Amino acid sequence: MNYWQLSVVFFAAINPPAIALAMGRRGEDHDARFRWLVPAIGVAIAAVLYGLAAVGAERVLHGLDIEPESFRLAAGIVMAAVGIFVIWRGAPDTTGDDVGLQAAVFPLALPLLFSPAGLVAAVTYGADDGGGKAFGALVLALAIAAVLLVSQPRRGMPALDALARITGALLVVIAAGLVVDGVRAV
Amino acid sequence: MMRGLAATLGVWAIGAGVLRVVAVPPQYCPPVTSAQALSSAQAAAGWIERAQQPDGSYIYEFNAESGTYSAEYNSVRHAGVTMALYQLAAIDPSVLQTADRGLRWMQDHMARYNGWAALKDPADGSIELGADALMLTALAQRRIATNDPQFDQLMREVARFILVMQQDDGSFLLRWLPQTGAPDPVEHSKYATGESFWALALMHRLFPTEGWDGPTRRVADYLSLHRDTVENQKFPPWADQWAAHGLAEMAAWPGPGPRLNDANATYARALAERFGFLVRVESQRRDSGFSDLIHGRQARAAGMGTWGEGLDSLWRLALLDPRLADLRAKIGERGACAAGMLAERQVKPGDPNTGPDVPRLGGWFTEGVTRMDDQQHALGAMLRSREILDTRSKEPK
Repeated sequence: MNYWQLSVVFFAAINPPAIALAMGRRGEDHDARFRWLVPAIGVAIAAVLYGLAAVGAERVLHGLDIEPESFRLAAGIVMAAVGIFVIWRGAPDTTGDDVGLQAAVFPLALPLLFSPAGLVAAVTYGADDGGGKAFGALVLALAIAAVLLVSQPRRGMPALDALARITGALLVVIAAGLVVDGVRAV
Repeated sequence: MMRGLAATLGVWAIGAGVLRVVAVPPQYCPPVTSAQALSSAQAAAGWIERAQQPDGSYIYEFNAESGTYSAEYNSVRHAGVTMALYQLAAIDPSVLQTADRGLRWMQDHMARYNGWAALKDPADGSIELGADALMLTALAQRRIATNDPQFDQLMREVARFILVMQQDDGSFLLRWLPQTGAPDPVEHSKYATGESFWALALMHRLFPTEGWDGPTRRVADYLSLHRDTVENQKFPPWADQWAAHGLAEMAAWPGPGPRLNDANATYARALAERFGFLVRVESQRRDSGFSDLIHGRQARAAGMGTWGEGLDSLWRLALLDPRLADLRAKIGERGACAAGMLAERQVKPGDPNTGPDVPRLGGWFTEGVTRMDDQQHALGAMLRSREILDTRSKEPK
Protein backbone atom coordinates (compact mmCIF):
# COMPACT_ATOMS: atom_id res chain seq x y z
CA MET A 1 0.00 0.00 0.00
CA ASN A 2 1.21 3.49 -0.69
CA TYR A 3 1.17 6.28 1.87
CA TRP A 4 -2.13 7.78 0.72
CA GLN A 5 -3.93 4.45 0.69
CA LEU A 6 -2.68 3.82 4.20
CA SER A 7 -3.86 7.30 5.23
CA VAL A 8 -7.37 6.47 4.03
CA VAL A 9 -7.26 3.20 5.97
CA PHE A 10 -6.26 4.96 9.18
CA PHE A 11 -8.79 7.73 8.64
CA ALA A 12 -11.48 5.04 8.48
CA ALA A 13 -10.09 3.11 11.46
CA ILE A 14 -9.66 6.14 13.72
CA ASN A 15 -12.76 7.90 12.36
CA PRO A 16 -12.08 11.58 13.31
CA PRO A 17 -15.69 12.70 12.61
CA ALA A 18 -17.02 10.15 15.12
CA ILE A 19 -14.49 11.30 17.73
CA ALA A 20 -15.35 14.96 17.23
CA LEU A 21 -19.04 14.10 17.53
CA ALA A 22 -18.53 12.01 20.68
CA MET A 23 -16.54 14.77 22.38
CA GLY A 24 -18.95 17.44 21.14
CA ARG A 25 -21.84 15.65 22.81
CA ARG A 26 -20.07 15.87 26.16
CA GLY A 27 -20.54 19.64 26.21
CA GLU A 28 -18.17 22.52 25.82
CA ASP A 29 -15.33 23.05 28.22
CA HIS A 30 -15.63 26.55 29.60
CA ASP A 31 -11.93 26.99 30.21
CA ALA A 32 -10.66 28.42 26.90
CA ARG A 33 -7.17 27.00 27.47
CA PHE A 34 -8.57 23.46 27.39
CA ARG A 35 -10.13 23.99 23.98
CA TRP A 36 -6.79 23.23 22.35
CA LEU A 37 -4.90 21.69 25.25
CA VAL A 38 -7.23 18.69 25.69
CA PRO A 39 -7.11 17.69 22.01
CA ALA A 40 -3.36 18.25 21.92
CA ILE A 41 -2.69 16.02 24.93
CA GLY A 42 -5.17 13.39 23.75
CA VAL A 43 -3.64 13.26 20.29
CA ALA A 44 -0.11 13.16 21.73
CA ILE A 45 -0.95 10.21 23.98
CA ALA A 46 -2.69 8.37 21.14
CA ALA A 47 0.23 9.07 18.81
CA VAL A 48 2.69 7.56 21.28
CA LEU A 49 0.53 4.46 21.77
CA TYR A 50 -0.02 4.03 18.03
CA GLY A 51 3.66 4.58 17.39
CA LEU A 52 4.54 1.78 19.79
CA ALA A 53 1.93 -0.50 18.22
CA ALA A 54 3.03 0.17 14.63
CA VAL A 55 6.77 0.07 15.20
CA GLY A 56 6.59 -2.94 17.51
CA ALA A 57 4.01 -4.81 15.41
CA GLU A 58 6.35 -7.42 13.99
CA ARG A 59 7.86 -8.14 17.39
CA VAL A 60 4.43 -8.38 19.02
CA LEU A 61 3.11 -10.78 16.39
CA HIS A 62 6.27 -12.86 16.54
CA GLY A 63 5.93 -13.01 20.33
CA LEU A 64 2.34 -14.15 19.97
CA ASP A 65 3.31 -16.76 17.30
CA ILE A 66 0.99 -15.19 14.76
CA GLU A 67 1.92 -14.74 11.12
CA PRO A 68 1.10 -11.24 9.79
CA GLU A 69 -1.07 -12.89 7.11
CA SER A 70 -3.16 -14.62 9.76
CA PHE A 71 -3.44 -11.47 11.86
CA ARG A 72 -5.08 -9.74 8.89
CA LEU A 73 -8.11 -11.96 9.47
CA ALA A 74 -8.39 -10.92 13.11
CA ALA A 75 -7.81 -7.27 12.28
CA GLY A 76 -10.48 -7.45 9.60
CA ILE A 77 -12.96 -8.95 12.05
CA VAL A 78 -12.34 -6.21 14.64
CA MET A 79 -12.44 -3.42 12.07
CA ALA A 80 -15.63 -4.77 10.50
CA ALA A 81 -17.33 -5.01 13.91
CA VAL A 82 -16.35 -1.43 14.78
CA GLY A 83 -17.45 -0.19 11.35
CA ILE A 84 -20.85 -1.88 11.62
CA PHE A 85 -21.30 -0.42 15.12
CA VAL A 86 -20.58 3.10 13.86
CA ILE A 87 -22.96 2.70 10.92
CA TRP A 88 -25.66 1.51 13.30
CA ARG A 89 -25.18 3.78 16.30
CA GLY A 90 -23.13 6.68 14.98
CA ALA A 91 -20.43 8.08 17.26
CA PRO A 92 -19.80 6.06 20.43
CA ASP A 93 -21.34 7.28 23.69
CA THR A 94 -18.63 8.07 26.19
CA THR A 95 -19.05 7.16 29.83
CA GLY A 96 -17.96 9.24 32.83
CA ASP A 97 -18.02 12.97 33.32
CA ASP A 98 -14.30 13.72 33.27
CA VAL A 99 -13.51 17.23 32.18
CA GLY A 100 -10.38 19.23 31.52
CA LEU A 101 -7.06 17.47 31.31
CA GLN A 102 -8.47 14.23 32.73
CA ALA A 103 -10.80 14.06 29.72
CA ALA A 104 -7.73 14.26 27.48
CA VAL A 105 -6.70 10.84 28.80
CA PHE A 106 -10.14 9.29 29.22
CA PRO A 107 -12.16 9.17 27.07
CA LEU A 108 -10.35 11.18 24.39
CA ALA A 109 -6.95 9.47 24.13
CA LEU A 110 -8.34 6.10 25.06
CA PRO A 111 -10.70 4.70 23.83
CA LEU A 112 -11.73 7.35 21.28
CA LEU A 113 -8.48 8.21 19.53
CA PHE A 114 -6.58 5.05 20.44
CA SER A 115 -9.36 2.61 19.59
CA PRO A 116 -9.56 -1.15 18.96
CA ALA A 117 -9.97 -0.61 15.21
CA GLY A 118 -7.05 1.80 15.13
CA LEU A 119 -4.90 -0.53 17.22
CA VAL A 120 -5.39 -3.60 15.05
CA ALA A 121 -4.92 -1.48 11.92
CA ALA A 122 -1.64 -0.12 13.32
CA VAL A 123 -0.44 -3.63 14.10
CA THR A 124 -1.46 -5.28 10.84
CA TYR A 125 -0.25 -2.48 8.55
CA GLY A 126 2.79 -1.89 10.73
CA ALA A 127 3.75 -5.54 10.22
CA ASP A 128 2.93 -5.56 6.50
CA ASP A 129 4.12 -2.13 5.36
CA GLY A 130 6.61 -1.15 8.03
CA GLY A 131 6.04 0.63 11.32
CA GLY A 132 7.42 3.98 10.18
CA LYS A 133 5.22 4.16 7.11
CA ALA A 134 2.12 3.08 9.01
CA PHE A 135 2.80 5.59 11.76
CA GLY A 136 3.33 8.37 9.21
CA ALA A 137 -0.03 7.56 7.66
CA LEU A 138 -1.95 7.41 10.91
CA VAL A 139 -0.52 10.74 12.06
CA LEU A 140 -2.56 12.38 9.30
CA ALA A 141 -5.78 10.92 10.69
CA LEU A 142 -4.81 12.07 14.18
CA ALA A 143 -4.09 15.55 12.85
CA ILE A 144 -7.53 15.72 11.22
CA ALA A 145 -9.07 14.57 14.50
CA ALA A 146 -7.18 17.33 16.34
CA VAL A 147 -8.43 19.98 13.94
CA LEU A 148 -12.02 18.82 14.29
CA LEU A 149 -11.73 18.69 18.08
CA VAL A 150 -10.24 22.17 18.35
CA SER A 151 -12.74 23.72 15.94
CA GLN A 152 -15.71 22.08 17.75
CA PRO A 153 -18.13 22.54 14.82
CA ARG A 154 -21.31 22.57 16.91
CA ARG A 155 -23.59 23.63 14.09
CA GLY A 156 -22.29 20.86 11.91
CA MET A 157 -23.28 17.97 14.20
CA PRO A 158 -25.69 16.31 11.71
CA ALA A 159 -23.07 16.53 8.99
CA LEU A 160 -20.46 15.05 11.33
CA ASP A 161 -22.86 12.23 12.21
CA ALA A 162 -23.39 11.44 8.53
CA LEU A 163 -19.67 11.61 7.86
CA ALA A 164 -18.93 9.33 10.82
CA ARG A 165 -21.36 6.68 9.55
CA ILE A 166 -20.00 6.91 6.00
CA THR A 167 -16.52 6.50 7.42
CA GLY A 168 -17.81 3.46 9.33
CA ALA A 169 -19.06 2.01 6.04
CA LEU A 170 -15.67 2.66 4.47
CA LEU A 171 -14.08 0.81 7.39
CA VAL A 172 -16.32 -2.22 6.76
CA VAL A 173 -15.25 -2.28 3.10
CA ILE A 174 -11.57 -2.02 4.07
CA ALA A 175 -12.05 -4.75 6.66
CA ALA A 176 -13.64 -7.07 4.11
CA GLY A 177 -10.68 -6.51 1.82
CA LEU A 178 -8.31 -7.24 4.68
CA VAL A 179 -10.05 -10.53 5.46
CA VAL A 180 -9.93 -11.57 1.81
CA ASP A 181 -6.27 -10.57 1.74
CA GLY A 182 -5.62 -12.68 4.84
CA VAL A 183 -7.27 -15.70 3.24
CA ARG A 184 -5.54 -15.24 -0.12
CA ALA A 185 -2.05 -14.58 1.21
CA VAL A 186 0.50 -17.38 1.12
CA MET B 1 -10.97 8.85 34.99
CA MET B 2 -9.21 5.82 36.47
CA ARG B 3 -12.42 3.86 36.81
CA GLY B 4 -13.41 4.54 33.21
CA LEU B 5 -9.93 3.76 31.99
CA ALA B 6 -9.80 0.50 33.97
CA ALA B 7 -13.23 -0.54 32.70
CA THR B 8 -12.21 0.19 29.12
CA LEU B 9 -8.97 -1.75 29.41
CA GLY B 10 -10.83 -4.60 31.09
CA VAL B 11 -13.30 -4.87 28.21
CA TRP B 12 -10.41 -4.70 25.72
CA ALA B 13 -8.57 -7.47 27.55
CA ILE B 14 -11.62 -9.73 27.40
CA GLY B 15 -12.08 -8.95 23.71
CA ALA B 16 -8.41 -9.62 23.00
CA GLY B 17 -8.67 -12.93 24.86
CA VAL B 18 -11.69 -14.03 22.84
CA LEU B 19 -9.97 -12.97 19.63
CA ARG B 20 -6.85 -14.89 20.60
CA VAL B 21 -8.76 -18.07 21.31
CA VAL B 22 -11.16 -17.92 18.38
CA ALA B 23 -9.47 -16.07 15.51
CA VAL B 24 -5.72 -16.00 16.08
CA PRO B 25 -4.47 -18.85 18.25
CA PRO B 26 -0.69 -19.28 18.14
CA GLN B 27 0.72 -20.89 15.05
CA TYR B 28 3.02 -23.80 15.78
CA CYS B 29 5.56 -24.92 13.19
CA PRO B 30 7.89 -27.48 14.80
CA PRO B 31 11.48 -27.17 13.62
CA VAL B 32 12.75 -29.89 11.30
CA THR B 33 16.03 -30.34 9.47
CA SER B 34 16.65 -31.75 6.04
CA ALA B 35 18.18 -34.89 7.57
CA GLN B 36 15.17 -35.38 9.83
CA ALA B 37 12.86 -34.95 6.83
CA LEU B 38 14.72 -37.70 4.97
CA SER B 39 14.56 -39.98 8.04
CA SER B 40 10.84 -39.32 8.25
CA ALA B 41 10.36 -40.20 4.57
CA GLN B 42 12.39 -43.39 5.07
CA ALA B 43 10.32 -44.31 8.11
CA ALA B 44 7.16 -43.84 6.04
CA ALA B 45 8.66 -46.10 3.38
CA GLY B 46 9.37 -48.60 6.17
CA TRP B 47 5.66 -48.58 7.04
CA ILE B 48 4.80 -49.24 3.39
CA GLU B 49 7.37 -52.04 3.11
CA ARG B 50 5.99 -53.76 6.20
CA ALA B 51 2.47 -53.26 4.88
CA GLN B 52 3.21 -54.88 1.54
CA GLN B 53 1.50 -58.20 0.83
CA PRO B 54 3.08 -61.12 -1.08
CA ASP B 55 1.22 -60.15 -4.27
CA GLY B 56 2.69 -56.62 -4.19
CA SER B 57 -0.41 -54.86 -2.88
CA TYR B 58 -0.33 -52.93 0.41
CA ILE B 59 -2.47 -52.80 3.52
CA TYR B 60 -5.13 -50.33 2.50
CA GLU B 61 -6.30 -49.08 5.89
CA PHE B 62 -5.52 -50.03 9.48
CA ASN B 63 -7.47 -49.11 12.59
CA ALA B 64 -5.00 -49.17 15.47
CA GLU B 65 -7.74 -48.84 18.09
CA SER B 66 -9.70 -51.89 16.99
CA GLY B 67 -6.68 -53.68 15.47
CA THR B 68 -8.64 -54.26 12.25
CA TYR B 69 -7.73 -53.97 8.57
CA SER B 70 -10.01 -52.70 5.82
CA ALA B 71 -11.06 -55.18 3.14
CA GLU B 72 -11.23 -52.35 0.56
CA TYR B 73 -8.60 -51.68 -2.05
CA ASN B 74 -8.01 -48.86 -4.47
CA SER B 75 -5.80 -49.11 -7.53
CA VAL B 76 -5.36 -45.30 -7.74
CA ARG B 77 -3.87 -45.23 -4.25
CA HIS B 78 -1.80 -48.33 -5.00
CA ALA B 79 -0.22 -46.52 -7.94
CA GLY B 80 0.31 -43.40 -5.82
CA VAL B 81 2.04 -45.27 -3.02
CA THR B 82 4.31 -47.03 -5.52
CA MET B 83 5.12 -43.68 -7.12
CA ALA B 84 6.10 -42.24 -3.73
CA LEU B 85 8.51 -45.15 -3.19
CA TYR B 86 10.13 -44.48 -6.56
CA GLN B 87 10.54 -40.83 -5.61
CA LEU B 88 12.47 -41.96 -2.55
CA ALA B 89 14.42 -44.51 -4.61
CA ALA B 90 16.30 -41.66 -6.29
CA ILE B 91 17.99 -41.04 -2.90
CA ASP B 92 17.59 -44.37 -1.17
CA PRO B 93 17.69 -47.30 -3.66
CA SER B 94 16.91 -49.77 -0.87
CA VAL B 95 13.20 -49.17 -1.45
CA LEU B 96 13.41 -50.13 -5.11
CA GLN B 97 12.53 -53.80 -4.52
CA THR B 98 9.36 -52.92 -2.65
CA ALA B 99 8.39 -50.42 -5.33
CA ASP B 100 9.06 -52.95 -8.09
CA ARG B 101 6.81 -55.46 -6.33
CA GLY B 102 4.13 -52.76 -6.32
CA LEU B 103 4.77 -52.19 -10.02
CA ARG B 104 4.42 -55.90 -10.76
CA TRP B 105 0.99 -55.85 -9.10
CA MET B 106 0.00 -53.17 -11.60
CA GLN B 107 1.52 -55.06 -14.54
CA ASP B 108 -0.52 -58.10 -13.49
CA HIS B 109 -3.70 -56.09 -13.90
CA MET B 110 -3.24 -54.41 -17.25
CA ALA B 111 -5.73 -54.16 -20.08
CA ARG B 112 -4.54 -53.49 -23.65
CA TYR B 113 -6.54 -52.09 -26.56
CA ASN B 114 -5.56 -50.42 -29.85
CA GLY B 115 -1.99 -49.64 -28.95
CA TRP B 116 -2.58 -48.38 -25.44
CA ALA B 117 -2.37 -50.02 -22.04
CA ALA B 118 -4.23 -49.25 -18.85
CA LEU B 119 -4.43 -50.51 -15.30
CA LYS B 120 -7.78 -52.12 -14.59
CA ASP B 121 -9.37 -52.46 -11.20
CA PRO B 122 -8.89 -56.11 -10.15
CA ALA B 123 -12.25 -56.13 -8.40
CA ASP B 124 -14.54 -55.07 -11.25
CA GLY B 125 -12.32 -54.69 -14.31
CA SER B 126 -13.10 -50.97 -14.64
CA ILE B 127 -10.42 -48.67 -16.02
CA GLU B 128 -9.97 -45.38 -14.22
CA LEU B 129 -7.78 -42.57 -15.52
CA GLY B 130 -6.28 -41.60 -12.13
CA ALA B 131 -4.75 -45.03 -11.57
CA ASP B 132 -3.10 -44.90 -14.99
CA ALA B 133 -1.84 -41.37 -14.55
CA LEU B 134 -0.24 -42.30 -11.25
CA MET B 135 1.11 -45.55 -12.68
CA LEU B 136 2.75 -43.45 -15.40
CA THR B 137 4.21 -41.03 -12.85
CA ALA B 138 5.49 -44.05 -10.90
CA LEU B 139 7.19 -45.38 -14.03
CA ALA B 140 8.60 -41.92 -14.75
CA GLN B 141 9.97 -41.61 -11.22
CA ARG B 142 11.50 -45.06 -11.60
CA ARG B 143 13.10 -43.95 -14.86
CA ILE B 144 14.47 -40.83 -13.15
CA ALA B 145 15.74 -42.81 -10.15
CA THR B 146 17.36 -45.66 -12.06
CA ASN B 147 17.87 -44.47 -15.65
CA ASP B 148 16.62 -47.96 -16.57
CA PRO B 149 14.79 -47.89 -19.95
CA GLN B 150 13.07 -51.28 -19.64
CA PHE B 151 9.63 -49.73 -19.07
CA ASP B 152 9.84 -46.95 -21.66
CA GLN B 153 7.48 -48.74 -24.03
CA LEU B 154 5.00 -49.38 -21.23
CA MET B 155 5.16 -45.68 -20.35
CA ARG B 156 4.27 -44.74 -23.92
CA GLU B 157 1.38 -47.23 -23.94
CA VAL B 158 -0.07 -45.84 -20.71
CA ALA B 159 0.48 -42.27 -21.90
CA ARG B 160 -1.45 -43.07 -25.08
CA PHE B 161 -4.37 -44.24 -22.93
CA ILE B 162 -4.27 -40.89 -21.14
CA LEU B 163 -4.54 -39.15 -24.52
CA VAL B 164 -7.52 -41.34 -25.40
CA MET B 165 -9.26 -39.87 -22.35
CA GLN B 166 -8.39 -36.24 -23.15
CA GLN B 167 -11.03 -33.98 -24.65
CA ASP B 168 -10.56 -31.10 -27.08
CA ASP B 169 -10.63 -28.47 -24.30
CA GLY B 170 -7.78 -30.22 -22.49
CA SER B 171 -9.95 -31.83 -19.81
CA PHE B 172 -10.18 -35.55 -19.19
CA LEU B 173 -12.93 -38.10 -18.81
CA LEU B 174 -12.58 -40.38 -15.82
CA ARG B 175 -13.51 -43.91 -16.92
CA TRP B 176 -13.08 -46.08 -19.94
CA LEU B 177 -15.89 -48.58 -20.25
CA PRO B 178 -14.87 -52.04 -21.55
CA GLN B 179 -18.55 -52.77 -22.31
CA THR B 180 -18.84 -49.95 -24.82
CA GLY B 181 -15.21 -49.78 -25.83
CA ALA B 182 -15.24 -46.02 -25.21
CA PRO B 183 -14.84 -43.51 -22.39
CA ASP B 184 -17.81 -42.68 -20.18
CA PRO B 185 -18.75 -39.31 -21.73
CA VAL B 186 -20.02 -37.75 -18.51
CA GLU B 187 -17.80 -38.46 -15.55
CA HIS B 188 -14.85 -36.20 -14.65
CA SER B 189 -12.57 -36.27 -11.61
CA LYS B 190 -10.96 -33.35 -9.87
CA TYR B 191 -8.02 -35.61 -9.01
CA ALA B 192 -7.41 -37.38 -12.29
CA THR B 193 -7.05 -34.21 -14.37
CA GLY B 194 -4.09 -32.94 -12.37
CA GLU B 195 -2.60 -36.43 -12.11
CA SER B 196 -2.74 -36.79 -15.88
CA PHE B 197 -1.27 -33.33 -16.33
CA TRP B 198 1.75 -34.22 -14.23
CA ALA B 199 2.15 -37.58 -15.97
CA LEU B 200 2.16 -35.98 -19.43
CA ALA B 201 4.53 -33.24 -18.28
CA LEU B 202 6.95 -35.96 -17.10
CA MET B 203 6.62 -37.70 -20.47
CA HIS B 204 7.85 -34.58 -22.23
CA ARG B 205 10.76 -34.29 -19.82
CA LEU B 206 11.82 -37.88 -20.51
CA PHE B 207 10.96 -38.01 -24.21
CA PRO B 208 11.17 -34.41 -25.40
CA THR B 209 11.03 -35.16 -29.13
CA GLU B 210 7.82 -37.19 -29.06
CA GLY B 211 5.28 -34.36 -28.87
CA TRP B 212 3.92 -34.85 -25.35
CA ASP B 213 4.15 -31.11 -24.71
CA GLY B 214 1.10 -30.21 -26.81
CA PRO B 215 -1.45 -32.24 -24.81
CA THR B 216 0.30 -31.12 -21.61
CA ARG B 217 -0.12 -27.46 -22.49
CA ARG B 218 -3.79 -28.04 -23.31
CA VAL B 219 -4.49 -29.48 -19.88
CA ALA B 220 -2.40 -26.76 -18.22
CA ASP B 221 -4.62 -24.15 -19.83
CA TYR B 222 -7.79 -26.04 -18.91
CA LEU B 223 -6.66 -26.20 -15.28
CA SER B 224 -5.57 -22.55 -15.28
CA LEU B 225 -8.60 -21.05 -16.97
CA HIS B 226 -11.63 -23.31 -16.94
CA ARG B 227 -11.54 -26.28 -14.56
CA ASP B 228 -12.84 -24.59 -11.42
CA THR B 229 -15.81 -23.11 -13.31
CA VAL B 230 -16.63 -26.10 -15.51
CA GLU B 231 -16.38 -28.56 -12.63
CA ASN B 232 -18.18 -26.29 -10.13
CA GLN B 233 -15.45 -25.85 -7.55
CA LYS B 234 -17.15 -23.90 -4.75
CA PHE B 235 -14.04 -22.23 -3.37
CA PRO B 236 -11.60 -22.02 -6.26
CA PRO B 237 -8.87 -22.82 -6.82
CA TRP B 238 -9.17 -26.38 -5.70
CA ALA B 239 -5.97 -27.22 -3.77
CA ASP B 240 -4.53 -29.43 -6.50
CA GLN B 241 -0.99 -30.51 -5.72
CA TRP B 242 -0.90 -32.60 -8.90
CA ALA B 243 -1.40 -29.44 -10.91
CA ALA B 244 1.41 -27.80 -8.93
CA HIS B 245 3.70 -30.74 -9.79
CA GLY B 246 2.76 -30.45 -13.44
CA LEU B 247 3.42 -26.70 -13.57
CA ALA B 248 6.79 -27.12 -11.83
CA GLU B 249 7.68 -29.91 -14.26
CA MET B 250 6.71 -27.75 -17.25
CA ALA B 251 8.81 -24.88 -15.94
CA ALA B 252 11.83 -27.21 -15.85
CA TRP B 253 11.28 -28.67 -19.32
CA PRO B 254 14.33 -28.84 -21.54
CA GLY B 255 14.68 -26.45 -24.45
CA PRO B 256 13.81 -22.81 -24.93
CA GLY B 257 10.83 -21.14 -23.25
CA PRO B 258 8.34 -19.73 -22.68
CA ARG B 259 7.27 -22.72 -20.69
CA LEU B 260 4.34 -21.34 -18.70
CA ASN B 261 2.00 -18.71 -20.12
CA ASP B 262 0.59 -15.89 -17.98
CA ALA B 263 -2.58 -17.83 -17.17
CA ASN B 264 -0.50 -20.75 -15.90
CA ALA B 265 1.60 -18.41 -13.75
CA THR B 266 -1.52 -16.74 -12.32
CA TYR B 267 -2.96 -20.16 -11.53
CA ALA B 268 0.28 -21.21 -9.83
CA ARG B 269 0.12 -18.08 -7.69
CA ALA B 270 -3.47 -18.88 -6.70
CA LEU B 271 -2.46 -22.42 -5.78
CA ALA B 272 0.39 -21.10 -3.61
CA GLU B 273 -2.05 -18.81 -1.82
CA ARG B 274 -4.46 -21.67 -1.18
CA PHE B 275 -1.82 -24.10 0.09
CA GLY B 276 -0.28 -21.36 2.24
CA PHE B 277 -3.63 -20.55 3.83
CA LEU B 278 -4.35 -24.21 4.52
CA VAL B 279 -0.98 -24.68 6.24
CA ARG B 280 -1.43 -21.50 8.30
CA VAL B 281 -4.83 -22.68 9.51
CA GLU B 282 -3.51 -26.16 10.24
CA SER B 283 -0.64 -24.71 12.28
CA GLN B 284 -3.25 -23.13 14.58
CA ARG B 285 -4.97 -26.44 15.31
CA ARG B 286 -4.09 -28.59 18.29
CA ASP B 287 -4.80 -32.18 19.22
CA SER B 288 -7.49 -31.29 21.75
CA GLY B 289 -11.26 -31.35 21.99
CA PHE B 290 -11.41 -27.59 22.43
CA SER B 291 -9.34 -26.96 19.31
CA ASP B 292 -11.45 -29.49 17.38
CA LEU B 293 -14.56 -27.58 18.42
CA ILE B 294 -13.29 -24.11 17.55
CA HIS B 295 -10.90 -24.70 14.66
CA GLY B 296 -11.83 -28.14 13.37
CA ARG B 297 -10.00 -31.46 13.58
CA GLN B 298 -6.34 -31.68 12.63
CA ALA B 299 -5.93 -32.65 8.99
CA ARG B 300 -4.95 -36.20 8.19
CA ALA B 301 -1.53 -36.75 6.67
CA ALA B 302 -3.06 -37.56 3.29
CA GLY B 303 -4.41 -34.00 3.30
CA MET B 304 -1.55 -32.08 4.85
CA GLY B 305 0.95 -34.11 2.84
CA THR B 306 -0.64 -32.88 -0.39
CA TRP B 307 -0.31 -29.27 0.81
CA GLY B 308 3.36 -29.85 1.56
CA GLU B 309 3.88 -31.56 -1.79
CA GLY B 310 2.14 -28.71 -3.60
CA LEU B 311 4.19 -26.07 -1.79
CA ASP B 312 7.41 -27.95 -2.51
CA SER B 313 6.63 -27.98 -6.23
CA LEU B 314 5.59 -24.32 -6.26
CA TRP B 315 8.78 -23.39 -4.41
CA ARG B 316 10.77 -25.04 -7.22
CA LEU B 317 8.61 -23.26 -9.75
CA ALA B 318 9.24 -19.93 -8.02
CA LEU B 319 12.98 -20.56 -8.42
CA LEU B 320 12.56 -20.93 -12.18
CA ASP B 321 9.83 -18.42 -13.03
CA PRO B 322 10.48 -14.76 -12.17
CA ARG B 323 6.73 -14.05 -12.08
CA LEU B 324 6.54 -16.08 -8.87
CA ALA B 325 9.87 -15.11 -7.36
CA ASP B 326 8.24 -12.73 -4.85
CA LEU B 327 6.39 -15.70 -3.28
CA ARG B 328 9.38 -17.98 -2.92
CA ALA B 329 10.32 -17.12 0.68
CA LYS B 330 6.75 -17.41 1.95
CA ILE B 331 6.13 -20.64 0.04
CA GLY B 332 9.32 -22.02 1.59
CA GLU B 333 8.20 -20.93 5.04
CA ARG B 334 4.85 -22.70 4.66
CA GLY B 335 6.46 -25.79 3.14
CA ALA B 336 8.87 -26.01 6.07
CA CYS B 337 5.96 -25.58 8.47
CA ALA B 338 4.03 -28.44 6.84
CA ALA B 339 7.13 -30.63 7.02
CA GLY B 340 7.63 -29.79 10.69
CA MET B 341 4.04 -30.64 11.58
CA LEU B 342 4.17 -33.90 9.63
CA ALA B 343 7.45 -34.92 11.27
CA GLU B 344 6.06 -34.26 14.70
CA ARG B 345 2.84 -36.20 14.13
CA GLN B 346 4.52 -39.32 12.72
CA VAL B 347 4.63 -42.45 14.89
CA LYS B 348 8.23 -42.84 16.07
CA PRO B 349 10.25 -45.59 17.74
CA GLY B 350 9.36 -45.68 21.42
CA ASP B 351 5.77 -44.56 20.84
CA PRO B 352 3.19 -46.99 22.30
CA ASN B 353 2.20 -50.09 20.35
CA THR B 354 4.95 -49.95 17.76
CA GLY B 355 5.82 -53.63 17.78
CA PRO B 356 7.02 -55.39 14.61
CA ASP B 357 3.63 -56.97 13.86
CA VAL B 358 1.59 -53.78 14.18
CA PRO B 359 1.69 -51.36 11.23
CA ARG B 360 2.12 -48.21 13.27
CA LEU B 361 5.79 -47.21 13.21
CA GLY B 362 6.49 -44.56 10.57
CA GLY B 363 2.80 -44.03 9.91
CA TRP B 364 0.41 -41.13 10.46
CA PHE B 365 -2.83 -41.84 12.30
CA THR B 366 -5.98 -39.76 12.55
CA GLU B 367 -8.40 -40.86 15.26
CA GLY B 368 -6.57 -44.17 15.36
CA VAL B 369 -6.80 -44.87 11.63
CA THR B 370 -4.20 -44.75 8.87
CA ARG B 371 -4.64 -45.33 5.16
CA MET B 372 -1.94 -46.09 2.63
CA ASP B 373 -2.15 -42.62 1.07
CA ASP B 374 -1.42 -41.00 4.44
CA GLN B 375 2.06 -42.45 4.10
CA GLN B 376 2.22 -41.74 0.35
CA HIS B 377 1.58 -38.01 0.56
CA ALA B 378 3.48 -37.43 3.79
CA LEU B 379 6.46 -39.31 2.36
CA GLY B 380 6.34 -37.15 -0.77
CA ALA B 381 6.08 -33.94 1.24
CA MET B 382 8.94 -34.84 3.58
CA LEU B 383 11.19 -35.97 0.77
CA ARG B 384 10.64 -32.91 -1.40
CA SER B 385 10.83 -30.47 1.50
CA ARG B 386 14.53 -31.21 2.02
CA GLU B 387 15.67 -28.68 -0.55
CA ILE B 388 13.55 -25.98 1.08
CA LEU B 389 14.89 -26.89 4.51
CA ASP B 390 18.48 -26.88 3.26
CA THR B 391 18.03 -23.48 1.66
CA ARG B 392 16.33 -22.00 4.72
CA SER B 393 19.06 -23.30 7.01
CA LYS B 394 21.64 -21.35 4.97
CA GLU B 395 19.66 -18.11 4.87
CA PRO B 396 20.30 -15.45 7.50
CA LYS B 397 17.64 -15.39 10.21
